[in-house]
Amino acid sequence: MKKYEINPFSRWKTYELEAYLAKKTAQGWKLTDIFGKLLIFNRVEPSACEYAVRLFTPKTIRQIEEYQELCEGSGWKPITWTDNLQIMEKMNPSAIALDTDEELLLTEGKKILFDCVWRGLLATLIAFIFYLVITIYAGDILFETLSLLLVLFGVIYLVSKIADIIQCFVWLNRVKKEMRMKSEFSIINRVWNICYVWYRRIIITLQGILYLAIFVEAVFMDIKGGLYFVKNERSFFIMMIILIIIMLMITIKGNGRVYHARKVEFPLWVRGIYLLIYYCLILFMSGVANSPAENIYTPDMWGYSTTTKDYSSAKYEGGLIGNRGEYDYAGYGLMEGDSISEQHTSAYELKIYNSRINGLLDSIKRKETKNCTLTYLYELRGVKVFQLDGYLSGYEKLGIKMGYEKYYYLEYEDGFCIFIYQKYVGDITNEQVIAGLVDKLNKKVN
Amino acid sequence: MPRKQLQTLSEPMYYILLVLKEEQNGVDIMKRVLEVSKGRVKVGAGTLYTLLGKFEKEGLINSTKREGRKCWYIITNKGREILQTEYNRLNTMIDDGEILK
Repeated sequence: MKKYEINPFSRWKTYELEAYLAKKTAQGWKLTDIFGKLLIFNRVEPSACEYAVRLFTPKTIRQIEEYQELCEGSGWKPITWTDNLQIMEKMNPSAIALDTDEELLLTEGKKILFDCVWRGLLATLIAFIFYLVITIYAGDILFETLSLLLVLFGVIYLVSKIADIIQCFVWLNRVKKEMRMKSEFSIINRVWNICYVWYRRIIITLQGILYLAIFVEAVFMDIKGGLYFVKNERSFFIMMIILIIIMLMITIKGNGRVYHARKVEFPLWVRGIYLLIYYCLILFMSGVANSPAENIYTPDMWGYSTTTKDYSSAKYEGGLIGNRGEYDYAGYGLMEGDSISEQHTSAYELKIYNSRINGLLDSIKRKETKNCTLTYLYELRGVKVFQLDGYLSGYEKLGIKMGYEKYYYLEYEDGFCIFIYQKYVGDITNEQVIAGLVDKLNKKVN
Repeated sequence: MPRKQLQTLSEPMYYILLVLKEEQNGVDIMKRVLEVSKGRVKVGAGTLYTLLGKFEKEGLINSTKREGRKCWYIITNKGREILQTEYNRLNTMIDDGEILK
């Protein structure tokens, strides 16, 4: 009879895992294998058994075999191995302890800690920074479109990494001060251990669920967006490739080249391909989750095609507000105290602009856009004034400001309309300002 | 204060290098250290494994042959020098300790 349990201990909780395995054996469950985060037990006669759990990060099968030989030669029988740990059972009561030099153990622990911080946390931070960059890149400087699932996953992941590092320091401290026995009998430590066990169980389960949910969401979003991300994000892909190379350089020589439990040693190139796929998947997920395709499916908002609607062929033509170098400002150069200059626009351009924007307004009015709201404010000199909140900036290249903004939308009786950035005209309730602008516009258009 | 790596040897380091004057495999090293130190110094498998790796990397020992899971090692000239230096250092310490008498 077999029993599967989530491993409730991080790699640094070696002493706790030893005690836990001994307790389980006393209850009639003996560890036979570790598969990922699962401990696999077999039903046995309850007995007293001593275990040794040791941090072990070999790079080759040869190293594992040599170590097994040494362990068996000194009275320890290897049970199973993970990427970081080896678990052994004491066969001979007079077996020599596995680690007889605590200073050496401490040095090795510090080395593994450094590895953990460097490869684990740094790679996570790079991925996180990348995630933020692409979010800004996607036009959301206020991070209002961050995928809640992804954020939740990131927070849990980061917390678990930080907890891992704290555990590592605790472990180092315990080795250093020889606190092992003392801590085992401390009530506070026992309570803490119970809490920690449940924290680990919950966190691992949550991570798994979230990971799956994010993946499904990301793929679904991109398919819904007409595979926008895959088709159109060339510059993003270049960024992604650079990041993948950096992350590969960080992690390729790390642990995991040897699948200890199955005694499989992967050549470096296999490990490289595995990591490549792994990172591509992660970055693709975060990229897709943050690409504009997620936010909206009416192309005119950003001037690209992500939909099968009427404007699917719309290109990035600079028809929108502030989205191209030659049309830097709202309303084609309309700024506070400014007039519409020939340099920026012309009546003809405004009319073209108008025709293009009508499609957008239709979609907003039909409430097909996810992140925009159009609110009617008042009518002024034959012009209806609306307030528009949302993402009107294009999906622009890095370095151009964009994001969630407030705009004013002025609609003329003849259907002509124009957008104005709020930041250039101040508060819309300042009728004098808007009236002045409207006058200028009227003069220009007429 | 932590010891500078391999500048001075710890007891297990010293005894491992000492017994590797003759070609030995890992399990034999553990037994031989116990024998030479008259049961005083015990070298665990974890400690031995780490030290062998470290010594080999630093060129203090060489692996000579491999049969199945067993690997044989022998001390190098560099290893001998380090061992001799440590021996001299310990002797000097003993000489200096004469003032206690």
